This record gives sequence, C-alpha cells and structure tokens, in this order.
Amino acid sequence: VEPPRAWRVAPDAWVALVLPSPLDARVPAIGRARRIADRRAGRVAAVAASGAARLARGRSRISRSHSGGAGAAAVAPEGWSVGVDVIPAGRVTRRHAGAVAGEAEIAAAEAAVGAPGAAGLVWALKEAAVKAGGVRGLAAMPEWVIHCVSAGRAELTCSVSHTRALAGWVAVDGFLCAWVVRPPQRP
Amino acid sequence: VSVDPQVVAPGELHDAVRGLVSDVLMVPLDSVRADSALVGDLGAESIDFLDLIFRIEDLVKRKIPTSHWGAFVSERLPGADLSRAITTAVVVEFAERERDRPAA
Repeated sequence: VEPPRAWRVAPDAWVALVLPSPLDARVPAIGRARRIADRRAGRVAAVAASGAARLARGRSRISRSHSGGAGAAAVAPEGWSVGVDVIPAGRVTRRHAGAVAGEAEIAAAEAAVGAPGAAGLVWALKEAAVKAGGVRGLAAMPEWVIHCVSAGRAELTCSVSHTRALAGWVAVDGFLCAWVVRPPQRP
Repeated sequence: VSVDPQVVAPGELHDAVRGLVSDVLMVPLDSVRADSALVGDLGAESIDFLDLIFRIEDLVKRKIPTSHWGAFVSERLPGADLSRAITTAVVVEFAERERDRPAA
C-alpha cells in the first residue's frame, strides 16, 4: 500500500487513509488474497491513526474500514462516537444509493462531488454515521439523512434518535472516505 | 400463502442463493456452504448485502425494501456477532421469507 496519510479532525481525533500502491495491482481483484490485502490496509490505517492520536492504550475508540485495496481508520478518545468508511467511488451505483437515500440526499452529494462520485459519497457518509451511531448494518443507513454537503463536510441527522452528526469526507484517487467523530453528548 | 411457481421452486432456493452469494462475493461456489459466514469467512462488505438483496429481488420477482433485511436480522439474530452469524443458510431463510411474503 501507499504510505498512510493522517489528519487531525478534532482535538485528539485523527483519521488515516491508506490507498493501494501500483504494486497492489498484482493482487487479484477478487477472492481470498484481495480480502487479506484489504484487511491489511485497514490495519495499516489503524496503526497510523492510533500513532498520530497518541492516546494511551485502552483509552481510545477506533473505527476501521477497508475496500478495494484501501484502508481507513478514525481514532478518538474513549467515550467518543467514531465511524469511518472508505469505498472505491465506482463500486457504488445510483441503485445502491437510491436504496438507502432519497433523491434530495443524492442531489446534495452530487452538487458537492459531481455526478460520478455522488453515489459513493452518499454511501460513505451514511456508513460512517451508522458506525458512529454504534450499530453496524445496512438497515440503519436510510435512518441517517444527509441534509447538506459542502467541500469536505456534511451534516446528517438520525430520523430515529434525532442525533445530529457532522461528517468529514475526502475524495482521493477514485476512493471516497468519510468519517464521523463526535464527543460524548451531554445529557 | 401463495407462491408463484414461476419464481423459484422451494427446493431450488438454497442452490439459487448459494449461486448468488458466489456471484456477488466473487468466490468459488464450492466455498459457499450453508454455514459459511458471509463476512467472517467470505469477506462480504456492507454493500455486498445490498447487492444480494437486489439479486434476491430478481430471484423472487418482487421489490424488497432495505428495511426488510434489517428487520429480519434483528428478529432472527438478536445480539449476535453478525460477522459470524449471517451465514448462507440465513440468507436462504431471508429469501424464503421474502418469496412467501403476502403481497401488500
């Protein structure tokens, strides 16, 4: 993989992204070798994010994602809500996006990233929000509604819990990576 | 419950779903066993489950809202580690349920 890139997204919270290197083209696009390479990319990103955050062992929350040879991780202090997703933009079609988002949400993403990446951005934002919400799963994705998307930022609200999430995102070399990092909510 | 015999015969559903899993996850058919965990053993990602739902829609010839999958998983596998608990057999069960679901 390429050397990880890491950036600070909040005090003590970091996101790291690892993209496949040209040598990764030798890994088959499918099957066991691909899955192993993807998971390794996720682990490399996790190490990079953890190293950047410098949080004591056992005092941090981490979220990991991997797909298409890329890996991403978000790390924040214990008690924070953390979710990250990375996906090749071409992996997500309009049909995928339409199954988890309304037309207005897709249009908001399209205005920010352009038509080719809109479906992937919708997917990555919702997946990150769902993970930060503490659940995993496809079914929760429609519950997180994208309200607005701007350069590198987005706002979502959960229609069930009414929780608001501010997300960050980047589009790099055909991959979309989104994250939600939220401090503990005060009662 | 009425089942359209043109859709898929009950005994064929298991094999059909195995084939879908193999196609969507791009793994050899012989690696897809009834007890294979889609995430843990076969490397499925969340978007792959949506592809499976799309393919099951084609198989049973009816629209399947994404929420049906979530409701099914919550009811069938409460509290389970989904990376291990969602197996081919579970997906077959979901396809059976959708096939047999009375028309709205």
